[in-house]
Amino acid sequence: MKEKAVTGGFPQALSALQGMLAATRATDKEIRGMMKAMPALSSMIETFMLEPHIRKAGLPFLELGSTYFRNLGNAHKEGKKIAFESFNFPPAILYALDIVPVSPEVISSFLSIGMPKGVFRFIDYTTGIGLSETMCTAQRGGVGVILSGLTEKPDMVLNMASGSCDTNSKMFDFMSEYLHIPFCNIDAPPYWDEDGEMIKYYRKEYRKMVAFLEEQTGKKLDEDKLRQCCTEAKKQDEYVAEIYDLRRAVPNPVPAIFNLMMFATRFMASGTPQATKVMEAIYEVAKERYKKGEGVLPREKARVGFVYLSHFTTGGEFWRWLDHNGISLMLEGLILFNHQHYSIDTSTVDTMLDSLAGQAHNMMMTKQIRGPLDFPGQWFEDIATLAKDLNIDCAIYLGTLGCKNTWGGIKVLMQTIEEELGVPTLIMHSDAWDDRVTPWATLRDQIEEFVDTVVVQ
Amino acid sequence: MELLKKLVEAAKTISNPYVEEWKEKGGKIIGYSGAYIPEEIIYAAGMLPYRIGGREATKVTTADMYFGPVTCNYVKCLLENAADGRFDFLDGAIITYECDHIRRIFDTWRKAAKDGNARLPAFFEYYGLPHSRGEHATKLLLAETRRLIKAMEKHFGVEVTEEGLRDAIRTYNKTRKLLKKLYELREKDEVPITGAETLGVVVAGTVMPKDEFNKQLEKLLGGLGRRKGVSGKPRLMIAGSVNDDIELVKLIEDLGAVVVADSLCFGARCFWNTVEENGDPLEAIVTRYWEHIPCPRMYGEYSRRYSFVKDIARRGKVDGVILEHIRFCDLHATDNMLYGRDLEAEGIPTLRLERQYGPLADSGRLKTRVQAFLERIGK
Repeated sequence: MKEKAVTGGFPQALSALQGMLAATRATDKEIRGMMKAMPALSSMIETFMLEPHIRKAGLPFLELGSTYFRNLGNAHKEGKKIAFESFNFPPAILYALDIVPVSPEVISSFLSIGMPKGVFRFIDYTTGIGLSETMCTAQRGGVGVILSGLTEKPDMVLNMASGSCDTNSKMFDFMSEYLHIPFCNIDAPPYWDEDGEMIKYYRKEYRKMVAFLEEQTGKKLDEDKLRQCCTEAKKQDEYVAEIYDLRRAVPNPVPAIFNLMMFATRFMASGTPQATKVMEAIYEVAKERYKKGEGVLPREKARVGFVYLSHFTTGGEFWRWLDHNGISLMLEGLILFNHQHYSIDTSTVDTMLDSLAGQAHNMMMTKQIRGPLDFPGQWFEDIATLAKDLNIDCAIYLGTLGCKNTWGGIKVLMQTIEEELGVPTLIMHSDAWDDRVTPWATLRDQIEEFVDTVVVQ
Repeated sequence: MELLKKLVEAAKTISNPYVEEWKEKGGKIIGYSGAYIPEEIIYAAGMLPYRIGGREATKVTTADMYFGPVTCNYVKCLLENAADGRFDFLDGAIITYECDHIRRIFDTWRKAAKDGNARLPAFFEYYGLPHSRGEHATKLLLAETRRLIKAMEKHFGVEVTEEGLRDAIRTYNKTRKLLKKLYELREKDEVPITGAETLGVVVAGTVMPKDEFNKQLEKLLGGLGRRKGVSGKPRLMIAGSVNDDIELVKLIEDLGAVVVADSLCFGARCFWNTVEENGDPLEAIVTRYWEHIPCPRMYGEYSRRYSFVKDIARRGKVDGVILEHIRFCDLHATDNMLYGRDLEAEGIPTLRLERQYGPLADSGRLKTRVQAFLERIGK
């Protein structure tokens, strides 16, 4: 398949995004005008800018997104290396080494929310070059963008999902072979622990990665720069903890889309001051709403735990619809940062590396789906703890058809949740990045019917 | 070739006369899920290691209650066999994380048993595997293996001694060397054993006592030396997803080809390397399993895998390679894409074949694809 076959409008979208950011002080009327003037981006504008309380955090978030893609575009011109890396990896260490991260899941998600028809054509592009159609769409979209030449070519591959998802990891293996670029595997051990042999193993893997990065860049890790990144990462974790606490309130004051902003911020820019700014904005808005007793509209009728993913493929409609239909998004697999299981210690290089390894070891997916469902620290325990702590009314699974690991265990997980927690569950056959599997309208109706007939009685 | 027939028959069903005899003598049997589980430790504990498989399952109705829609049918057939009582002779089972599909057998089998839909062996263990190689990974795996041995010793009241492990290593190395001799016979211009028969022999070796298997294999090798071989047919190699289904290979050979080589985990990949017989026996066993021809679950190892595939293809003087994967097996599907690219660049024709595991529900489609491939090879 030739590059010309792909016309996603990706660069145009980025340039329009820059334009949108100029509208910091725009009025509601002007924002609606922008939506009309830029119909291709109306969904992005509506999601992050239309509602004033969302806009307060939405603008710094879009600015962050813009920086992420601009860095990617400028990396080679500025003499920086690009690392193709997994979303479930806080990239602070990369920033400390002046390496530019690019994650296929970030590209897929941004384009899914921002572009009409999301990343369908890029997903199909990867099938065209011979990848299996059963691979993960979160990756295939971004990989399609990269392989069709719309971004700079990565210089190295970091596989951080090893141990939690074969399909995800295999894509990294593939990219290294296909593009003939160096590969480093960072393995999450088969079990999880907070302070035992498993975290010790992971710390060794993490240091192996640092040595690899130093070799690839020809630079030694600078202690001061590392400390700056760790200091920012620590502040971000403090906001994560505060926002989590606010979520306990009834009604939950944290708008649904803030969940996406939180995890996307971590995926794109953990350890940067810009990411801290986004987290701070999210926290300030949520705190203000908490003080005013604001939550979803018209009133909180259900507190839903999405045990794995949100639904990215229809602009921001998933999150907006929840907020305006009385459904509080209490948890989502991707925001399980598990901040209670580690802390960031900036004393020495060793403590900082151990801290960052601890943060990565506890990222979503890496932590809770690496082992059997009911083992310590695994999926059931995490969901059970959060369900009680956040007072969740029901559990819903939205995923991707690429996720063999979660699909392999989801029925057992949901049956166990029903039996042991007495919480009703719903498993939805859909793909978070490919609306062609099950259209959003169908999913929306199913969620609504489930909530109204099973949860709200 | 009565002996060959007997071995192939043992490979077609879940239970077999060897299993029955073992049980009649009061022996214990431990099922294991894949080629990364060190059988030697079970042998050294005086029990029969038995590799569980999906053959005989003709439906996946119970498995569908516990697995989602994107789990491979091989794994579903494993659970279905458990649900249908075909594994009831097992006294224990060890499940490992070889891939995202098979690892969830550990969750689904337990839940099915809890619901009264399957019998769970009294000893049921998970064997956690890392993904990276290197000193710390070997150390982790060694600790995990020791934990598993202790659990086995405690549950069954047995003892795994150093001498027992050394004896197991000798026995298993002998099996590996004999199987390699069998594969070398297939490299000849006149091939004395078909691919389907070979698969039968390999599978039989995973479901019967190794000492008995070694005796029979030695006799078989002698007999095969006198058997008239097949020649003049297109020589094929199969690489890809797990397969214990003899009928799949037979389907390919019935179209006029002969399968002379493979890179499969019920095949060359599981016996090509031997265990070092000197030094600490447990360390040697763990190192061998960790360093053997890597399954696609090991990342950053493509060049090692490809070098093995290419070498096997060269030794077998193959005219083409069938790169098969079971639907939803992304690990093999991705490697197969790269193998296809690289083998074709070396002038070796390839066929990428997605298939369902099981009683050949899509045999018509498979026949058409293989026929077209044979036409392309033009022999």
